[in-house]
Parts: sequence; C-alpha cells; structure tokens
Amino acid sequence: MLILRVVSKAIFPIFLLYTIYLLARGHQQIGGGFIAGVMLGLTMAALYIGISREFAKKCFGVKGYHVLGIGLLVAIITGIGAFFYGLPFLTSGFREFNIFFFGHVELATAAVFDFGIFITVFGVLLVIIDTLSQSIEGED
Amino acid sequence: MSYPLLAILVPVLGACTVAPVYRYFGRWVGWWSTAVAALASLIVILQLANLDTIHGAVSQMSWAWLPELNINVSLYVDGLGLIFCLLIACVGTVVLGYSNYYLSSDENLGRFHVLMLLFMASMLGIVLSDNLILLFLFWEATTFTSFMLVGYWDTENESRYSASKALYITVFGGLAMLGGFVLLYVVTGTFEFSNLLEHASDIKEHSYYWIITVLILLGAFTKSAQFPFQNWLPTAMVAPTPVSAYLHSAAMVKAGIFLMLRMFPVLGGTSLWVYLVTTVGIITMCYGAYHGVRQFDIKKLLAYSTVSQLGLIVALIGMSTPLALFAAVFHVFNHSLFKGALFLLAGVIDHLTGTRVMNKLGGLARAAPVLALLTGCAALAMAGLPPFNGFLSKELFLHAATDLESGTGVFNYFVIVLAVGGSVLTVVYSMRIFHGIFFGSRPESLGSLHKIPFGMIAFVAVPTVFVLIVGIYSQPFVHGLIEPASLMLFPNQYESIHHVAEEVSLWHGVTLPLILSVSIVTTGFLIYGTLRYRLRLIREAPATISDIIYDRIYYPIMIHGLSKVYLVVQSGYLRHYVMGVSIVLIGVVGYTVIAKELWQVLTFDQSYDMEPYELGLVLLLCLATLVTACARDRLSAVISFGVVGGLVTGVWIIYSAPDLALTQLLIEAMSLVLFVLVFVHGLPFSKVSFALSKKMRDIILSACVGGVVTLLMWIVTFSALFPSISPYFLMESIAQAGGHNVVNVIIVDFRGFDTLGEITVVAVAAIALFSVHKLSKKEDEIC
Repeated sequence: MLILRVVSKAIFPIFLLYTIYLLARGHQQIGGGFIAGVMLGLTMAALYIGISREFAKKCFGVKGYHVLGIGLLVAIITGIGAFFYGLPFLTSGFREFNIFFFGHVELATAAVFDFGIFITVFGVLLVIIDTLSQSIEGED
Repeated sequence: MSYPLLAILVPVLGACTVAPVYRYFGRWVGWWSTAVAALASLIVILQLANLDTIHGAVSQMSWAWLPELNINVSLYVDGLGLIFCLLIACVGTVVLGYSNYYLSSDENLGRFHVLMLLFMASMLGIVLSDNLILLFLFWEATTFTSFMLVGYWDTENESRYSASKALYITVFGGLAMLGGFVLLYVVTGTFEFSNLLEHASDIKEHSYYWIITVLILLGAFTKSAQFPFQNWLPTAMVAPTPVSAYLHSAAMVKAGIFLMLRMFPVLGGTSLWVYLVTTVGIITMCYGAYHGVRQFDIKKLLAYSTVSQLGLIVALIGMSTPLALFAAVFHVFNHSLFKGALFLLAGVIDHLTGTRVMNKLGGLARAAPVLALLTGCAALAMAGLPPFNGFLSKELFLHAATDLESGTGVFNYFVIVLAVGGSVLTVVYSMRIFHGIFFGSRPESLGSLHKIPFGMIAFVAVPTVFVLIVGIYSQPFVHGLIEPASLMLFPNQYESIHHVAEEVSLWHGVTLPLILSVSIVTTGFLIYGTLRYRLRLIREAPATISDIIYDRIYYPIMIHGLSKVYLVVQSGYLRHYVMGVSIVLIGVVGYTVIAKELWQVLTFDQSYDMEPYELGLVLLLCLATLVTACARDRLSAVISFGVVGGLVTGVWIIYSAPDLALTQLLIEAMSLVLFVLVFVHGLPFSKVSFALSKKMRDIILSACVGGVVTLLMWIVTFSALFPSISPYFLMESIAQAGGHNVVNVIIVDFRGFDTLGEITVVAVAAIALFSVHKLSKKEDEIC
C-alpha cells in the first residue's frame, strides 16, 4: 500500500495539470469537458483509494452534489445566454482574439458550456466515489 | 429587456433567493417574498400604464427557443392578459403579506414561499404566453406547484390524498389540452396564438374543429373545477388558507377561464361552443351552490361557492354575446376580489376562534365588529347585493341570460331557470357565512377568543375595500380594465362593448334583471330564514357522483393498476432492463432489414487486406470476450471485461479516432476503480447461478443481438442508403463553431442539447445513488 500512497500523491499535480490541459484545448484538439472531468475523477479516485477518504475530502474540500449542481447551472446559463442575443437556446458564438503571450486564440461560448460539462462530470464522479467509499469504510 | 418578461422573471429570481434568505433571516423570508410580489405587481401596473390597451393595443415579443419545432418563447400582451396579470400579481402580494401572520415560524416557510413565487411566475406565464406549447409548460407548472402546496402538510394522509387527487384530475385535462394544441398545429401549422387568430374561420370549418374544442375545453374544465371534474377543489381545502385564497379562488382556477377566454376568438361562438360551455357552466353553478349550502366547514363552503361562481363565469363565456363576455371578464375581476377576501377572512376566523366548523360559531359580531363588517362586505358582494361589485356583474349575468340570441327556446328557458336557481342558493350560502357566524346566539362551546394581529386585518381589508370601491366607482375600472379585455374577444365590436361598459351602474331604472335580482335576494333571505331554525335539516352532503367515480374507478386504476404495470416494467434487475433493450433492438432493426429488403445490398466481393496486427487484435478481442462470458465469478468477469475495453481502445487508435480512444481508456480505468471500490470491500452481491433454461435464453438473446448488430454494421459499411453527415460536420465545424476538434464541436455545439440532456441524466443518477445510499443507511449525518 505504501507504493500506492506515494504514487497517488505524486501523480496528483501531474494529473491536475493534464486535466487543465485537456480542458483548455478541447475545442481545437483532442480533449474536452467530458474527458477532463473523468480525468479529474480518476485523480480523485487515486487519492480515495491510495490514501484515505478523509485526506481526499480535505484535498478537494467540496461536496459532490454542490459541484454537479453548479456544473449544470453553468451549462444551462450558457444556453440561456443566447436568448439575450435573440438566438435559440444553446446557440454558440465565437470570436478570435489576440492575447498577449498566447497569440491568436479563438474563444467560443461553447467552451463555457464545455466547462459546465467538466464540472458536472467531476461532481457526478465525486458523489459516486464518495458514496461508495463511504459504505466501504463503514460507519463514519 | 421588456416588461412582460421581467414580470415573469422577477418571481422566478425571487424564488431562487428564498433559500438563502430563509437560512439567514428566518421568518423575514415572508416579507422578502411579499416585496418580490409587490415588485412584480409594480411591473404589471407600469406595463398597463404604458400599453394603450383601451384602444386594443397589443404588444408582442419573441425569442427563438426551438425554432425547428415552431416552439418559441413568445409573449403576447393585451388587455385580457393584463387584467389577469394584475389580479395574479396584486392578489398574490396581499396573500403573501397575509401569510406572514397566518403561518407560524415553525412551518417550513422556505418551501412555502418558493412554491408561491414559482406559482405566481407560472400563472403570469400562462396569461402572457403567445406560444401554446409555452402556455402548456406554464400550465403544468401551476399544476405542479398546486400539488406541492395542497400537500404542504405532507405528513397528513388527507393532504397527500387531496394533493394527488388535484394532480390526477388536472393532469388528465392538461394532457387533453396538449392534444388539442397539437391538432390545432396540424390544422394551421402554427403554435402562436397571434397567428391562430387569422385562421379562426378555417379552424371552425375544419373537420377536426369539434375534437379540438372538446380537448381544449377538457383542459379548461378540469383546471377550473367544472362539473363533473369539480371534486378536486373542495378536497384541496386541506391546504393552508393563503394557498386556498390564492390558488383555489383567485388565481389558478382562473387559468381555465383564461384559456377559454383566450381561445374564444379562435374557437368560440359556434353552436357546439354555446351548448356545451353554457350547459356545463350553468349546471356547475347550481351544483356548486347546492353543495355550498350543505357544508359546515367554512372553507369547504367557500370552495363549493368558488365552483359555483366559476360555473357562472363559464356559462357567460358559453353565451358568446359581447354582453355576456363582458360580464364574464367583469365577474372574474370581482370574484377574485371578494372570494380572495372571504378565504382570508375564513383564516382570520379560524385564528380567532380555533375552529372553522359553522355549527360551533355564532354571535361574533359584538366581539369582532371590524371582522363582521369586512365579512359582510365580501359576503354580500358574493350574494349580489348593491352597492358592492358583485351586484354589478350579477346584474350583467342576469341581463345576458335573459338576452340569449342563439339557442332554441327550451334551452334559453333552461338557462334562465338554472341561473335564477343558482343565484338564490348563492344568496343562501352567503348569508350562512355572514349572518350565521356573526349574528344569533353565541354557542357555549366557543371558548375565549384569540387576539388578531392588526396586520392580518389590514391585509384582508385591502381586497374588501376594493369590493366596495369597484361597486360604487365602477366606471374607471370598467373602462380601464374590463373594456380593453372584452375588446380582445370581439375585436370588431368596439361600439357594442363600449355601450355595455357605459351602462354599468348601480341603478338604471326598473329592468328585468333588477326585478329578477330583487326576487332572487328576497327568496334567498326567505329560504335562509327558514333554514336557520332547522339547521338539523342540513346534513353533510353525501358523496357526489364525481367522488364515487374518482374513488372507485379512477384512483384504483391510477394507483393499483399502474403500480402493477410499474412493477413489471421496473423489476429492479439490470439484466431485465438489458433484455428489454435488446429485444427492442432486435425487433426494430430486424423488422427494418426485412421490410426494406436491405439484405440485398450486402456483398461479399469487397476485399479488405487485414494487417497481421489487426487480425491479432481482433482475435484477442474475441478471446477476451469469450473469457468474460464464461467467467465463473464476478471478479474475473470484471477483469476480463476490462481487457475487452482496453483492446477496443486499440481498435480506436488503429482506425484513427483518438478522442474515442482517450475517452474509452479513461472510462475503462474509471469503471475498474468503481468495481474495485464495490468489490474489495464487499457490497452485498447476490450469488449468480442460473438454471439451464435461463442460460439458454440469455445465449439465444445475445446471439441475436450480436447477429443483428453485425448485420447492421455490414449494411452500413457496404451501402450508402443515406448520404453521410460527416462531410457537413467537417466543413461547418470551423465556420459555424470556430473549433477544429470536430468531435468536441459536435458534443458541445451541434448536439449541445443532447449533451445537456445527457449530463442531466448522469447528474440525476448520481443524486439517486446518493439518496438510495442515504436512505438505506438511515444515518443522520452522511457527509
């Protein structure tokens, strides 16, 4: 178990970075909200299994059902946003920007929706893993 | 941002803020929601002032929602909608203010105010919607909030029974109405009410006309508690009194009336409409009044009187003359004022004496003179006595009933006789409330009286004062509100409606309606006078035919019958669900292949050179699958299944689908983690050992599914039945969505709605898992 302990701690920042990487490039290259959400879920699962439920909970410090609620809210609000431009629900818009250091970047509202998916998927996995590991560790 | 949308959004946003306000400020949440309602009223009044409804001005606005299905967020603001808006928002404000005194702070005030504000928003939505589908959504939102509010005291069996009764009956009507809307769409090709107006004559001549009318009227009749669907309303009186005052007298039951008025220019005026609507209305009026006289609980009496008054309004809508429709709108307005006031007063009496049973009440006038005065105003308005507002609309009702143009002679007499009969009974029950409670001897059993807070009386006084003001100074209300609304129903008859409006006054000489009024009131007083001394003769009415049908047939079918179906469909075993899905798949695909003779496109001469590593991958895949199927225990099944998943990832990589490969890999890892969590710590798993017959069944089913899917793949690969959609996505991905990752663009943009649905389902599944676990553990603290 020691190996698992050490490894799950060690991979945590790497996986976290990879998650952000997957999320950020999702619209242009391989990646996206769903994959990034599962990735972060796996990172968290490693902490749950490798170390302990308490540690993992301390690490994330949020409750799964809050997270998934916020995620759904982000997704839905993105959809409603289109109404303010007189467009149908969930119509996306995008624009190209020139941002210092990043250079030429296209930003789309769909990316915000994608972020909502990411949050929701992570929240779902957090709820599931937390619930399952709780029934395992028994009465706490 | 436009005013009407704001009027709907303000209560919704207010409802969103109720939870934090309740958490941090406790019972002050009631005043917060009152303020929100007042803001909504202010917006409605501003809108009313802005729009020149007196000359028939209409304001329309539309936001695309699902334009492919002709479903839009489109609003239609006219005189008719605005008068309802005004009632909904203002009565709502008064009722919410009153509820601060009525509900004790031990109750779950947060839930109450969230539901009341959501209800207000959905009611405003109904009366402002242009799109019929939008209207239907708001309509069902009121059904839902009403269900939750009737069952507010959810630990009591009676509340739950009443709430489900209201739900089952009104949902049935709502679905019928949706069917009517869809048929209207079939006939006219539009869901927008404003466009339907142009098609009115086509609709009336269409062969679907009668079925559309009956379906939409079913929705209106169930919602507005018309005979024989009236029985949910009296039982709904178990709700807290503010709910009864608001939902079940002033607002929600008026939704059916509103629908009939809204649809009148499109569907109304035909002989089917006249006979059906008038008959139902006038029967409901008498039926409700008769049962009202026989009640002992004040709230039940008021509920039956609401049924009766709604019947009167419906009868007026059926009569289809400008005079009758004018009277209908006017009576909607008046009824909301005096009936809202009466319900609130019933709550005050309950608060004062601790009982609502009329036998135990009497002689309260000396102890509570102000209360007696207010009740007197409202009850006499209901009875139709001058100088109160009820008198004005009652006169118009009698005038309209004696002035029927359409219909045969027998029908007209039938209407007049029942109208007079119903009105007499109305006088009787009104007197029972006023005279029976406040005069006569005070029963011994009535103990000491509680103190009534001043604010409670103040909030009740507001509608009561308006009862009197509208009665005496009727012209500003009639010209500012009622006339514009009636004008929307008869757009071409400005003259005749204006003429009717001019004539509204307390006195216009000795006319037939006045003679009828006088004789009705006299007869009513006489009957009440004789009944008073024979109160023993009044017995609680026996179960009505509607109750018997509901309790003996409808309810058992809904509860017992459907729960049996439910148990068969929802067995709770995953394998049964998978079996169901498989059988449907085999059936649908197999049928299509046979019916369209698709096997003819299959060819065998397509040669494909398999690389050795591809062949190896496929063979390994087959092997792993076989191992999974033959695994003796679950752990090895899970592991070998993981191997299958990993190999499939390999397939994705070979055929260049990196997105899928990544997703598959992550999901495989995730499933393994979940299985580990479940297994290592041993959640109870029943041991699987099936009989041979079941094994055979599973094998045959699996073989069929495999065969069908293979066949499908084969057909899809070797034939081009439809042009592929891939080029479209590849081309449009950058142009329309600005993304190079086509898979991601499809997920978040082109098919964004699907994705939203999917993540919602996933979220619901997680919450279900959490709740099931919480329930099964029955622990107080889970997280």
